[in-house]
Amino acid sequence: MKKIAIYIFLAYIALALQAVFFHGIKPDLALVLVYFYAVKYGQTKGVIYGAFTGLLIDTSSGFILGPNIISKSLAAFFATAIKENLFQWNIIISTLLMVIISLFDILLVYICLETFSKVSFANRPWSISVVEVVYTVLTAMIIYPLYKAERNRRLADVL
Amino acid sequence: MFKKKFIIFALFILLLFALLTYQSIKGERPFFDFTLYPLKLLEQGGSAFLNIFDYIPFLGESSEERNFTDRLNKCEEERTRYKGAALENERLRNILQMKSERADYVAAAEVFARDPTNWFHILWINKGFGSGIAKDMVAVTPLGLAGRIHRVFNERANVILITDVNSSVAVRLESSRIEGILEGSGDSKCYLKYVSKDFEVEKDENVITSGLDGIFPEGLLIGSVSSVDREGGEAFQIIEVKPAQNLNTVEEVVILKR
Repeated sequence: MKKIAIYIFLAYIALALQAVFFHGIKPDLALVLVYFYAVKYGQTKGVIYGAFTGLLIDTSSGFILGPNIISKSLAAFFATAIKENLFQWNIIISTLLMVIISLFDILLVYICLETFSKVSFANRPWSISVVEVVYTVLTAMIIYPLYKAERNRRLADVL
Repeated sequence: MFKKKFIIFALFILLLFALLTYQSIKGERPFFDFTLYPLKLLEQGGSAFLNIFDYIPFLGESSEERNFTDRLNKCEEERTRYKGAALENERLRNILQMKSERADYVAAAEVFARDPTNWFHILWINKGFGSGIAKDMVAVTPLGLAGRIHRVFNERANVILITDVNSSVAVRLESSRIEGILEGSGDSKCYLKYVSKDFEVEKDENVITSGLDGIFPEGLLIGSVSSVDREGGEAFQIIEVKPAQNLNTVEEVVILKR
């Protein structure tokens, strides 16, 4: 219970950082959080946390409700599905998975917005998304050692 | 067990698609009060918690060092506060001047958040219906046009900036009087579209609103032409416009009537 409260607080911090602190192209900090939460606590919790974080983002965006709920929960779903089938887990695999999840998230939001809203992103330069993916992946690489240290500590406790 | 989880998740996604379809048909998203709660939190001091980073350098210092650092930080803090107050004073003076100069003035509002994603260029302001703000009213700064009101609530509203990909403004070039449509690029600049290759467009020429779209009043400064490509487009020139106001740093806006 305490851990989920911390992660909810972290989701709010990520949202506030994205809405208040960053100007111009910003990394998707919320997706990084969802990704690490999902690979740490499993599929069910990850999907619920992804949906909650997506709801926070959609409500702060002022347009339609749903694209980020779908993309973040599916990102958590696929991140855990892929992770469960891997024997090895290191920074390279984690980074590669983050690239895939990040691209997948952008593509899903794009499809939802193009299909269900009256706004069009046909003229939006893809370089914005590319830079966003780079920033997001770099953030994930910075956070990875913290995740790894926590994981090692938990493993040591178990052993 | 896996199948049950999968079915629940698939149903959840289907439910979300139903919600999206509903919004697509109705044209508006259902706004319940609780969905605005994250915004309320941001408005009530979203950046306040960022100040916790100020305390991080104290870790690992001795008490004497901490004392000096503390005093130095206080001086720095005071200096920054005075500097900020002077700048704010200047900005508010400009806004007051606009209030007395313009008959179409509605309200001045503070920006408390931006869109957290890279999809939209939106500012959230701390005034809404209660201050007389309505959809499609115009948001300006003393330096130039910022955008138009997109959604309004009782105590807050959002402004869709001219750099958003879904923004279009009827404009003309100030000295040559050439008209066109200004569209956002999704980053920090805009494009002036539908200007025939027959016209000679000069770099650095000012771009102003033409008022022909029925939304933006005539004569508002938007920015200046930053580059002209006569060869790139098929029938029209590719004209890049740099907004006069850096829209990444807007802190206050003035709302004008349509």
